[in-house]
Amino acid sequence: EKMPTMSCYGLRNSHYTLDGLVDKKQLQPTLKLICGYIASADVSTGPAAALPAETRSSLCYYKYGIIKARAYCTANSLIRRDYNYVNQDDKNYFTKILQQPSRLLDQQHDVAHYVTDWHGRYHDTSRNWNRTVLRPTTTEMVAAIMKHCYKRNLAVVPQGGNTGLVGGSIPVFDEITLSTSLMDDIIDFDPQSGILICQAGCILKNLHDHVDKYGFSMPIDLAARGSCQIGGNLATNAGGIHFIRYGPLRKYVTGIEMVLSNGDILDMLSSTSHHGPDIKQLVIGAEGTLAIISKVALRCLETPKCYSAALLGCQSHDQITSALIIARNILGHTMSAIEVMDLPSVSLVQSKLGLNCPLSSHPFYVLIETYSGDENQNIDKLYNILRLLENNFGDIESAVSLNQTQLSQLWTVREHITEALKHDGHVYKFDVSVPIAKYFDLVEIMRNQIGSLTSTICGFGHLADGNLHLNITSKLYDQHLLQTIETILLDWLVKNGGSISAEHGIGFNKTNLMYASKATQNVVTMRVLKDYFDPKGILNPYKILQVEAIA
Amino acid sequence: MALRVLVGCKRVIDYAVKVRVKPDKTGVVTDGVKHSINPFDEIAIEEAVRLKEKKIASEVVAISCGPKQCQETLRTALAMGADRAIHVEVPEPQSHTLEPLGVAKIFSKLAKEEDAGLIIVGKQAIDDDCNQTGQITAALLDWPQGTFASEITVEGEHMKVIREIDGGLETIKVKMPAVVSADLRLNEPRYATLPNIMKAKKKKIDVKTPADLGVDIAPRTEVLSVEDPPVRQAGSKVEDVTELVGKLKSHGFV
Repeated sequence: EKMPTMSCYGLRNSHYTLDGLVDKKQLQPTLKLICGYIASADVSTGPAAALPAETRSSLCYYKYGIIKARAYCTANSLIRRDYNYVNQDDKNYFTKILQQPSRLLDQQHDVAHYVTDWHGRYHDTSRNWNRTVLRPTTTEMVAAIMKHCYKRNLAVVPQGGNTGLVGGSIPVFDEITLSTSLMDDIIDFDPQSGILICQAGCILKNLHDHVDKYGFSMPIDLAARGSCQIGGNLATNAGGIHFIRYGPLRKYVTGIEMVLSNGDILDMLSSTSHHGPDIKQLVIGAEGTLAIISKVALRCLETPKCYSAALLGCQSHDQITSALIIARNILGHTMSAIEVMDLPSVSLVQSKLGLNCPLSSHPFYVLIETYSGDENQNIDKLYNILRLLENNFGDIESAVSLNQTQLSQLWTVREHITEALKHDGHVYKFDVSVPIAKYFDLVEIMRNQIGSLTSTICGFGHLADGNLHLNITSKLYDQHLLQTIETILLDWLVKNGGSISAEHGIGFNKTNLMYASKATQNVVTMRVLKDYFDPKGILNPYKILQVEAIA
Repeated sequence: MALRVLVGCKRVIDYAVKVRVKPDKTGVVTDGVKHSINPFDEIAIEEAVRLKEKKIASEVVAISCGPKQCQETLRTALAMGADRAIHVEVPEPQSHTLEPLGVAKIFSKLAKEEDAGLIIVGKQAIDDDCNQTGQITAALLDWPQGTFASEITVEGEHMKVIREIDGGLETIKVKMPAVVSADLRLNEPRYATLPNIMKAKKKKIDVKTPADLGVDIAPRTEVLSVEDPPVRQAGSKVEDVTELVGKLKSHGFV
């Protein structure tokens, strides 16, 4: 049965409103149809009645032939918007564009890993939809695909390495997944200017290895480097471990080529024009909702001769903040990274993955990385930091890297925390910006309030950016627990000043949180831009911006 | 029981560095490339320091043969807990032709001079993979040897050595003084702590030359050329089974 001609808007975990013109006589069957379409919603008609919040039921009234139906539903009731469905004609057409039948995937076992997020969770509403995955190799193919999707009103999810942690890169319903994995050409690197030009599907580590041959580094580094793609890094405006030194990735973008929702190619790849508003910056951080990034031009920096790191065992919050201040003082701009982790994070890595920490147990660990012309300089600086810290706090246990192998080993524990968490049950993952002086407060509060309901509560992250990765695990997914956590979190962030997504992006998982921490005018403007770039709303729907409820 | 332990520490190109062959094929590029202590020698130092912590050894002396930069390698050993170090200076380019035989002669001379009771070396160096120095040293001194050691236990005048061999593990008993070569699983080397690194700067490094020891380090072999392994033929990626079968057929494999 076809959906009645109504526009439906849905808010996850909340109520939604339906508006439309339905004949009086059709009311009952229409409502039955709508509610049958929405998972687990009851229908009851009658005069207006106060409804308890938890109840799933609907209230209908009619006036002058216009029926307004309002249904209250709780969790898991996101409605699929009225896009068309991919049919065999579409698939034939796509196959023609892609030139190889294997570049279109639609069998369940083939698409499985494209449509599952890194945590191995499907979206709630996902299980029964037919999925299509397209793997173009050139910008022209992407453009042809989008042109067709625009004409046919088919939704598309752009996908890079699929390493995102907020469910932003996978389809919610039956959106077409457009993977850039085959767009992995490194087009050019100029050692004179340090400018690297490549397709969006290049894996970060491959890019790093390529420019490393010339003595250059990529201006971003994260643990997912072996799988994540540069297009995705840009679309999510990824931060990473060297953020403190390099700054935001946007600084290094000299050009972007992108494909718009109607198939037009916007080529802003060459860096010769510095006048006018910088349109290409809009798509950075837009998580694939404004355009699809197809090519990137980035400025890379010369690799410093020598990196060294020291891991320090700290007893208190005071020690951590002192370490940061002293490190900044002594290292200045040669501080390439400063990370912090708490004991539960490190214990988890040891118990789940069998990786040893070089230090004995301490409540907190701080990893400081610096660079210079040679190891001795680095060691001298790190030693000075330790000495000043010990003046205030007494003996502090330390481990220092004396060569490159030891350097990567010191990073190993920090970089494996996310993986260790995966083995600890369901992970509620939050990536928040907090005032540095209150860095671990949230972890403490969570422990006090919900410690008994959870397996592990731990915090770690990029200390100098005030970027805390708060992770809570429980044996099984618990909707109420999630809501409790989110309430405590938002409450605290509003009171103390912070952001609900420091670097992981919004994706699908955090759309409901965005309103709470961004000023309304911000979000309204984002909506306007979205409507301009993507009037049919076919690019990565249900992500970042929640659909508006009609009041 | 005053057991003095000598440990050989070779300065090699860092394990994490991508090695490049020189265009003139005479060797690999070492200029400006990161060097560090041979990982197996690091394990040897760790074992010696542990013996000292167990009060079995009374002194640990680290030895390195090569150019001036070897002193950095020795500082690492000192930071890990060695008491003092000896740098046998062999300047470049002579250091590039230094062979296990020459090093073994140096070690055996020093062992006698220092009245050592135990020599621990790494089983092999990661640059030349020779796996000879320990064995030759033992032969020159006429000492027993426990090579590829994954565990050593000192029992009075004897030492029990568990060796890694092709079939599994072999346990032998050797009478001290002896030579041991360290294998990967002997221990996990400690990280240096910042205070220990600073303390190490004050520890003594004696500098000697092969001539001081009366040792002839002239090479007995000559390197003719060093080349990259042959480039692998590019395979071709196929996109599905149909194409695979097609290619197999067209190349005459099926």
